[in-house]
Amino acid sequence: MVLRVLVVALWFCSATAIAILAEPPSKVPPAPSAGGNDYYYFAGERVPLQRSQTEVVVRAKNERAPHVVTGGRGFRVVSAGSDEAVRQLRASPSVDVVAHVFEDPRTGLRLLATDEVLVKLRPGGTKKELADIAAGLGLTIDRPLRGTSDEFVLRLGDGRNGDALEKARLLHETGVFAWAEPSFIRQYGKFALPNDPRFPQQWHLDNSGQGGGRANADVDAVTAWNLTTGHANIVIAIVDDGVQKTHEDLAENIFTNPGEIAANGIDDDHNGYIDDVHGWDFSDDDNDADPSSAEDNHGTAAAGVAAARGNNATGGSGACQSCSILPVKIFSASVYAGDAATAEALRYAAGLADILNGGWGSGTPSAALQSAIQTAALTGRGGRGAVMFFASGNAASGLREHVVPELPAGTHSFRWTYRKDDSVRAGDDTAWFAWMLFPGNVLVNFENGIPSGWTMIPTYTWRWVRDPRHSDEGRCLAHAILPPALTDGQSSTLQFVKTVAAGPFITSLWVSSEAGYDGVVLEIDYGNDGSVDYTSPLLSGVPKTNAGISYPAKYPETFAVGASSNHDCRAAYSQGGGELDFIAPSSGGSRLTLGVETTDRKGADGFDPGDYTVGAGASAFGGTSASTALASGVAGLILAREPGIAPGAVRQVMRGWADKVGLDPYYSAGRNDFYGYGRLNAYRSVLAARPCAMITVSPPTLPNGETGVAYHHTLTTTGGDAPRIVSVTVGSLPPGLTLSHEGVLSGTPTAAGTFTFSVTASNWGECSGYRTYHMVIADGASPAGRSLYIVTPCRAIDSRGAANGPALPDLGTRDLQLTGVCGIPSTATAVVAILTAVAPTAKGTLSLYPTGSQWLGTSTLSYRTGKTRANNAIVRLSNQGQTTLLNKGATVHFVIDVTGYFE
Amino acid sequence: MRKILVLAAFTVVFASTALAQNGPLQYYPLTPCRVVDTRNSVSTNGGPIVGTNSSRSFQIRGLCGVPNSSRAVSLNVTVTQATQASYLTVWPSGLNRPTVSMLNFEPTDPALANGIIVAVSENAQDLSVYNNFGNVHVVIDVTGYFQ
Repeated sequence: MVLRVLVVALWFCSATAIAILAEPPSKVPPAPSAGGNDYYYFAGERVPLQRSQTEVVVRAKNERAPHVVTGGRGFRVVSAGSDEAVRQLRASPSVDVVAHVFEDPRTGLRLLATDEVLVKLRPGGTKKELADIAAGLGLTIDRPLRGTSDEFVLRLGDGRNGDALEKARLLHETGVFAWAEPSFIRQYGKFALPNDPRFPQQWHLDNSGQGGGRANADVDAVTAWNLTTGHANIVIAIVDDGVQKTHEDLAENIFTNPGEIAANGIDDDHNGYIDDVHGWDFSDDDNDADPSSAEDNHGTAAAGVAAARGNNATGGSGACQSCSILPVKIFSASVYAGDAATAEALRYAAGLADILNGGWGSGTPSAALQSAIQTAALTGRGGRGAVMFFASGNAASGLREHVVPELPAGTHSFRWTYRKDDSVRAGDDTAWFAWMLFPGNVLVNFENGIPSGWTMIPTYTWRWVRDPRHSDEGRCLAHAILPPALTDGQSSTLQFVKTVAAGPFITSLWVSSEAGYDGVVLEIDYGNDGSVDYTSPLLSGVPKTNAGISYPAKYPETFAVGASSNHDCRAAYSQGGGELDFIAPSSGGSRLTLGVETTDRKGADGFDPGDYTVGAGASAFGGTSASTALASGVAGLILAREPGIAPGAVRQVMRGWADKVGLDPYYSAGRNDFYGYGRLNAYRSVLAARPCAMITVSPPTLPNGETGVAYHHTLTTTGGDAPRIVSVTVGSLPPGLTLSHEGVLSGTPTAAGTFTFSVTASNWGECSGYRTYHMVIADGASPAGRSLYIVTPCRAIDSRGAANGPALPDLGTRDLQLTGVCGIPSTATAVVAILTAVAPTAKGTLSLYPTGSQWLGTSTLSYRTGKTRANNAIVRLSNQGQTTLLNKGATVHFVIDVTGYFE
Repeated sequence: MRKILVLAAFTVVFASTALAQNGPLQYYPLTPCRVVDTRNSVSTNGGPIVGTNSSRSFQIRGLCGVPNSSRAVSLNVTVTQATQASYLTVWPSGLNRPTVSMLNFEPTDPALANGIIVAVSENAQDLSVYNNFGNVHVVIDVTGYFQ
């Protein structure tokens, strides 16, 4: 009787399918799992599970449709707190399947057993052999997993009484199969943290310090877009909940399957899916991968981070502006997905997409999922291998924010007390304080110790520690304070008096204590008059944290992506571990940091009331999901630029060119467990993805030139991508010549000499090559050889006279006529002269050069303070018979005497 | 006018009898061009400074518009940063250093120059410079050549 009421109630309140999971009862410790038989095999190792003693999973007969995919409709978790209740359920004629509910003891994420077992044949194994063994165990072969020929779904003959875990164990232990495991409906964390024209706000792409963050704490997307903005041929599969295809900033980039004719009811491309024009929904097994419930918000946001259409004057931009988005839906109205459907979804995605993106994960591995991932890594992208990004997980931090909504203005006494009762301890039995935020955004952190004037009661000393893991690392805070170690029945209070404006008081802290008994309490005495005006509840309990990497990110074939903040430190929640590849910008995990702006389901649906999330708002997108989508978009750029690149090379460039940011040292391999190889840099990894082709500048030498004679020669460049820009990078060209970016060296040289310069050719600073030239510019105006004619020594120029005066100042020049005087004919090309500086007042030099030519840094006479000094010179004249005198030093009189000339 | 080659008023060095017979030569004037400066970084026509009782050989032909066919050059030789009272000898490289002085200077001279005409040899480094005492920087500008 009891049972009948229960079952009827369940079937009718099930509009949101299996989301009506009962909460585990509180205060009742889970019973130890019966007999230690609750495990399955993964890679030959036992994965232990904890069986629920209060709930089972059931499916009604009338919900079993022929093609229902496990993980979607039909299964319900129901309360069944006694063996008798379970027995009655199993006896019910309306029930088809009764199975156990399990929990991963490390993460608390659930696994629901079903009536299915997944098995893979060994090489050479036959379906007949499998059928025989299965029959002996009361199993039948239901179907091969789509996309495989050697992996099968087996079904229990008696779904009400059979035990899929036991059958899977027995199959494994025969040793006949590659693997065998129960087909669970697995609970995943969707690693978003919705803590609840837009490009200027998209700091994750280009950080100019928005919201007080750190400039350049971004992936350098803008510079990467100089190299490529992506290509529609590069397809990113968003394996997630639904993607809203009609969103204005996604629609243009939604993948259209070229091999499928819409709505003709035929599987035109023979991939096993009928009319899959824009992806597939594996939770409902149909071709509508759009969001279908109020909870399907994650895929639309992730798709936007990876590949929202860029440069379209709409919304923001994805990391890959022009990549295509393939929606592959595995969640519907819940965070549960069946193993068989998820494995098929991954295989499907790899059949059409280059990049697989998953912002979700769990603590437990699955051979069927790994098998699909291995296949994708080997056969995706036409045999080059799919590139797969999965989120590391969001459960690394136990930080919480305690909010006092409205402090009155005034000078108040604040008291934080850690209190222990006289029995059990749990967790770390302490509380770390990361920061306190007073009204008016007055932030107190503990980077420099406990603030002066803060006292402790009694005098147990509170501790100040460098411990980024327990502070607000996303805000780059490395220090925390915590109470002293206390024994049972003790307490310790941290007290301070502070004058504040009216407004909220927020404290970021991480409590790890026996729930309900030990923990911290905040008391505030408004006005510091001796009466307590505010008392918080006891903040206690041990938060569920997980420092390891989640599956599928943990599989070696996939990338594991963590999160960094707009301050360029690891977000506190971002899970780390030996498999972490790198971190990428996302929300920072506290209100001191920003989230990510991206596409959001239109209108009231989604995280935000509008069509986009708001980075500084409660609707911001974030978590390691956003980081993963960003990495997928960057990989899209890499593949667009270098389509043939192998997944291993993608990993190498994304890891190798990450920026070493944050609070942890990087060890000799260039990584650490919380930052991986550092924060992703799109520009540098896209740049490095293509091996740099050597650019050659030709010819090896340049023809010489002459002054006054037009020069024209073209330099050519070969190698690397066009356009190649040439420019002079070392030295300078002969005066009068210019070099165009296309390589044309032209002009009329104005000065003789030997000129050395290097010409560099490069394309977008990506690849370059240079050549050094020595170019001789002969004196083109130089006449034929001349003979010497002698004249009687004669004073041609004297600045002390009226004709060539006055004295020449420092840096002054004077043009001097040397033909037509002293018997020198106008045909003379040079004179034999003696140049004299008269009684200079400081040291300096005089230089003679042909008038109209360029002074080439020479000198003719060096003079010295107070000394009249002369020097011999053969002085070339201009065609007009002139020489120019340049003076450097002091104002000086000068004399030129001549003794001969050349003509 | 008589058309003769006269090297009057210039210090002219012919270090061997063979070179003394080189002529007559025609003069080709150039825009003055700096060809040697030992204050520059170490190279054929750059540093280091010329030391006590030591010689350096420089390349003149092929630079500054002086063709390889030239037999003599018209130079302005400047010394600076001298540490001792000393003199320079300039001569075509590859021959014995002649006992002549082209420029006598003292440390108190900030800089001192002399214009000379000198033969060049056919070696790649075709002009040698000798300094008698101390260290001194040598700067050479070329103003023309003979061939």
